[in-house]
Amino acid sequence: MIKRMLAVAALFLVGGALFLLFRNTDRGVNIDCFSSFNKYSRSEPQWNVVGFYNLKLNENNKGVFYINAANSNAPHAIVKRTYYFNYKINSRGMLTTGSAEISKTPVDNVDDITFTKYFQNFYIKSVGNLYIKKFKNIYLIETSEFVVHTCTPS
Amino acid sequence: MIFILHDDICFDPEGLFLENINTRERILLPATAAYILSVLIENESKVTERDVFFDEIWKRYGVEISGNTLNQYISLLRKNLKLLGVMDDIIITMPRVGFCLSCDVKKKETRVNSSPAPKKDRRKGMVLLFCAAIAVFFIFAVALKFESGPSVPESEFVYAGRIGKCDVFMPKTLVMLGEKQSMDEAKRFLKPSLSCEDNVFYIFDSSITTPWKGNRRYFISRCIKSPNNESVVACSEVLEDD
Repeated sequence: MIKRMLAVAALFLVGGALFLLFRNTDRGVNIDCFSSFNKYSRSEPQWNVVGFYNLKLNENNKGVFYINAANSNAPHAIVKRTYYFNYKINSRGMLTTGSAEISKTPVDNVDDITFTKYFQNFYIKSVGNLYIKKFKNIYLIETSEFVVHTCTPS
Repeated sequence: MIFILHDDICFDPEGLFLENINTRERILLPATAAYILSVLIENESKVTERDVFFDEIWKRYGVEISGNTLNQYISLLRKNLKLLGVMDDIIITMPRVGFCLSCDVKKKETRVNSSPAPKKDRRKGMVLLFCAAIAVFFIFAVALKFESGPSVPESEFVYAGRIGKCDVFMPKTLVMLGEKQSMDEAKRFLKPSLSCEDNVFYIFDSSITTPWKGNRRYFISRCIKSPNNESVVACSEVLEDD
């Protein structure tokens, strides 16, 4: 009886130690937020992009960024795509993303260069200069110390 | 099969021990000593000749013993029996012949538990150890369950002024560079589509993009608070770039 009890205790302790040893210490955050935006360029006034996006950062270090936007002037350009990526976040709110996969819908007719220049305020694969911070109950997404999005919890 | 000697000594030839039935005190025997005692018991009150010991122990157990070894083990058996409280010499020496037992021997089919006699304190200690291990495990499990993950840090946005009746928040650094100038920029940049209404506040930011040209980019977000002013329910933002 005693031997069994000791064996069970040892099993619990060994299990606990292994769990501590191999648990995920880079746990992510749990954020699900959205915003509508309008982005335009002074030098190229034909680009006046209106749309909305949804950002999800899950605790398992996986994230999803969905964007649905269009240029309200000519050229006729529509973006409707989802990025799936892995990420890490540190205590300063710095996001490091990687392994981004893109899933475009058929209506999406924008190439990557145009998308980066006129539609997107931050580059999903940016390293070291993408931050997420909290203000009241919303999130501010910053690149190079400049806010590019306010994101309201869904 | 176990044997009871002298009414209160139990001998287990397989467990290789002698035990006082009353005190539960137990002494482990060397295997050869146990073989010698087994041979003695088989012959009970008859005299077992020295040669019989040599032959039987060799045949049964494959152990060769000398006359001197036999004497030493007999001496050890006597000593251990005394330690267990048998003051009478129950192993009688028949000079130049052999040895015999001078006590009653009872056989018992059931073997006594070959594990060491339980000690109350030891068991108590083990139970405590077990409970402690389980408790430690559950404390860890609960602590991990409620372990907070990385939290998103607070931004350094501060109140900078008002446009109409709506509060404007800006980065602390922008306010430090010139609160009035930054507020003027925010007012200039504010579009009619981002009208100030009840429960609305603005988040404003600007930064230099091309320093040699003095080009700036601007960001303003119009956020609507819930009627109880506790949380923001939606934001719509405008970003103007070069």
